[in-house]
Amino acid sequence: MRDDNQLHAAVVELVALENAEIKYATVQNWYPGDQHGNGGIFNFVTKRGLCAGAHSKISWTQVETGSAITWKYPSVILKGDYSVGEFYSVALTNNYQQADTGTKMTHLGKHTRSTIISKGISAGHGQNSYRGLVKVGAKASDSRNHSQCDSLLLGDTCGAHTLPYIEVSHPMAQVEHEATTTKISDDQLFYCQQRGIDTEAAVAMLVSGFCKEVFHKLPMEFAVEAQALMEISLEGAIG
Amino acid sequence: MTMAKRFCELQAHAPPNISGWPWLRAFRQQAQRAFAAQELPTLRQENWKYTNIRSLSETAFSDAPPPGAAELAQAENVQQTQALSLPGYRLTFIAGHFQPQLSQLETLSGAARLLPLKQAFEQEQALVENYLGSAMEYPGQPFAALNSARLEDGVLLYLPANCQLSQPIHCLFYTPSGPHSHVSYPRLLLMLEPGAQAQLIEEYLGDPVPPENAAAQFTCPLSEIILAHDAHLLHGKVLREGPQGHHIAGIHVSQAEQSHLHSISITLGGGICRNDLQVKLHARGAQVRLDGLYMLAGRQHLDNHLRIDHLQAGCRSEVLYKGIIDDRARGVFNGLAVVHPQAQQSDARQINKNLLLSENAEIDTKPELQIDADDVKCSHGATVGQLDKDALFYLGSRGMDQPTARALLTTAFALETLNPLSQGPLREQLAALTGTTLTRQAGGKPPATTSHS
Amino acid sequence: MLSIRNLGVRIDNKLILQGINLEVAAGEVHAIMGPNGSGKSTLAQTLAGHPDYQVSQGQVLYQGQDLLSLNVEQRAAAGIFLAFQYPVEIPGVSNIQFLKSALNCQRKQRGEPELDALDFITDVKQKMRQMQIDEALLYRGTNEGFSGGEKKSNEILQLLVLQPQLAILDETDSGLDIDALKRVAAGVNAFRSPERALILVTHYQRLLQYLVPDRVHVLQNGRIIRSGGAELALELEQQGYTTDTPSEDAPTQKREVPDDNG
Repeated sequence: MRDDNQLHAAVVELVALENAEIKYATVQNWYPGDQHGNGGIFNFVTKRGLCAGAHSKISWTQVETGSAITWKYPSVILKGDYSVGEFYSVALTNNYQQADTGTKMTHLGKHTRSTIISKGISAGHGQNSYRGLVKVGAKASDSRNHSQCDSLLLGDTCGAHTLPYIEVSHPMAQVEHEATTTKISDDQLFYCQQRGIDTEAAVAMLVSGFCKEVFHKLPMEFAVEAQALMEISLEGAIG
Repeated sequence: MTMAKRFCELQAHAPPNISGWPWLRAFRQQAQRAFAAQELPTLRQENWKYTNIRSLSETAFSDAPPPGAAELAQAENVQQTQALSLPGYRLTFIAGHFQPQLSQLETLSGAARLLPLKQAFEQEQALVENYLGSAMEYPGQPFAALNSARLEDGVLLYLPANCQLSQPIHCLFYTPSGPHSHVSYPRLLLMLEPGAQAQLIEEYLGDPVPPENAAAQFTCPLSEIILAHDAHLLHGKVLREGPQGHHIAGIHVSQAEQSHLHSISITLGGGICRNDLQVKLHARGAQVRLDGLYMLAGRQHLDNHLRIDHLQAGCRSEVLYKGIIDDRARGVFNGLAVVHPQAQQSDARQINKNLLLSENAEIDTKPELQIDADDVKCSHGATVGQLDKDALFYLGSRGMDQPTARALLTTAFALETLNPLSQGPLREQLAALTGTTLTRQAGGKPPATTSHS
Repeated sequence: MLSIRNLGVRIDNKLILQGINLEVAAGEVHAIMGPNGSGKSTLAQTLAGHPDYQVSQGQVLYQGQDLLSLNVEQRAAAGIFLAFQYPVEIPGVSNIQFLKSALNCQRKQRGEPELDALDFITDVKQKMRQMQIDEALLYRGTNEGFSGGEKKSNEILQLLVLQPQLAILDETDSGLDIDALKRVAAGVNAFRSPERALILVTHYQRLLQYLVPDRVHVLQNGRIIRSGGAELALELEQQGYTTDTPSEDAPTQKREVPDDNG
């Protein structure tokens, strides 16, 4: 049975009225399939939020370590003036997992703000894509977005892809996008090892450091669990 | 689609002097098939998501006839008053037709060649046949195929090993305005053998003030650049077409070991414009630096599409594109760095920065990374925003009025793209052009002001 | 404690060190001096087990066991500590987390139980006060955005917390102002004991005013060309490394030896 794929296709919709705030956190560790890529969940999820009222806020946080394939783009429509949208994501793919995830921030109201922090870790033959849209409408004066999308590659058979779309049609908007792709540096690893930390523990520590900004956004008990999950999912990633 | 269909009709009576060579006929026919096999791009295609060429494909462009006396006089005037004035070699074209009397060419020594492509078909057939089409690709590039199917004239540059041209080559393409819609397909073929060095500037000019009844014009150039081991090329492109001057260009580059390309692309005017710049870094140590500046106004539309393929280890690419967008203009930037699985120790950096000056201006930017090797340093950044408020305040506190402070900061923003150029006439004139364009933009209306603080 | 016999080291197939002999007994302080590119840092990195340095000949005994057969973290657990010339920044991993992880990993390798969290933090804070390091540095990313002086002090803090047997300090004095130098030296002096040994890799004599060495060795062109007592350091300070040397194959200091990044 476990050689088959199962489909998980959920829909989540959030609406925040005036001054309301919603924090929605997900830690996902569905069965990812075996080490040859057989079986596993297809995790195709629709998540969207509407900041309908002024000063409303929707914050999505996700840690995605499971599933054979994940397609998931939690989005926020920032309709209310001064509304805030956030997206914090860690996606880890090992073996033959694929994660294609990101967000859409649609700024319609004035003085709207959005923050995107995405951390993708690829190991084994894993493929990780960040795909996102930041759109600032013609009436969204004084809106701001900051996006940071970082990818970490463990091994030379995995891949990382960054596809950010930025569409701005208001002159008083500020949009900043930054992305980096790196591997764990040999110098960092050697430094940890010289202090007596073995390779596997050092990699786990460096990866969790890489994800720290996102883990901080999780509720405490979730953060601990997420950290443990990462370590399990990374097992065997370093030869 | 109209353009594809019409193109196929036109193909029936291609000029006899070209169809005389079987190899060229075969080349054009193959390109025609590649073009016909592709749909003309629509917004539904990812690569053309932000650029609508429907109005172009619905216009019946006919091949531009050779210029008459009036156009020749106008071209001479434009060349003297508008065009860059650079020392060195110059090849001038009017609507795709080479004009020897407006050009400055001399025979290069030894095996080096610089001549109009049409002349090269006759005199340098082996060179052309050997290299034409070798640095380009048709799939996903319908306009490269269209150019190849219709090419008649252009520029051939061949530099043998270690040949270093000290003077720049200025290729001026003037498109006269008029009541009829014309199309031209300039083709540039640049080959630099090991250790060769050159500077080549493509300049596309329209009439600065076109007449009222001016019809749409279309220029569809393609440049192929082949850099051998340790060859160095500075490639400039200045695009200043009139509002009716549409332009869809390809620049396809193939780089060998340790070769070095510095490309500077400046767009200051035009209708619907698109640059597809594709660079393949084929061997270790190849380096490319792509700098770009666009200052758009009116209803101008500019789409800069860059793609850099790191195919082998140890190559380096660096991109800095900056835009200032005013009125109802729209800028599109798409930069893609692809690091292939065997391309370890790749270094790819990309930055796109934009200033929007008007409520109706728009920028769509998409800096992409596609990484399939792990030992890499890749980064990209994109920003859309306004001038730095702290800097404005600082200048104000030193007694500078707001318009002056804004002009100063905007100029500094734009000129950063010229910094890697060495001092000389090219840099001076590009800086002067940038300055003039900024003054014109600022003179039209007061700069956008903050509604809140 | 440490016995280096006829050690030769290559990097990228270039010979950096050759014929190195060195005996360090417990309780001793040895200084390795020499001009830039002489191979000082190579020696330090090789003892710590950096994978880029290939030992081409010789052997190294540490407390009677073959050091070269141990990997990096095993050497650390066995009590070898390298204070890096350029400590690496590790964003996102806080200093305290790093220290705790290192200490517990070492204890685990030695078969000792994990340290009590409260005891650990109390110990670290006490040592930070001793080193006059701002406590805020504990919660910042390891070395991330630290000034040069903060990085060097942080290395000595790690030394004090991890309590190794043999500490190798690679140019720990470089880039420090006089106050920071005194603090670092005081920290190192606090570490000294009859059971522990210290190797100071340095370009200058000034650290040696505060940490008086038992033996001074001059490394040049990948070989130890002179050894002597503390007075040798003073002599070098006055006369430089260019004075005539007993080694016949080193007439001047200008010889093609690849820079060891040190």
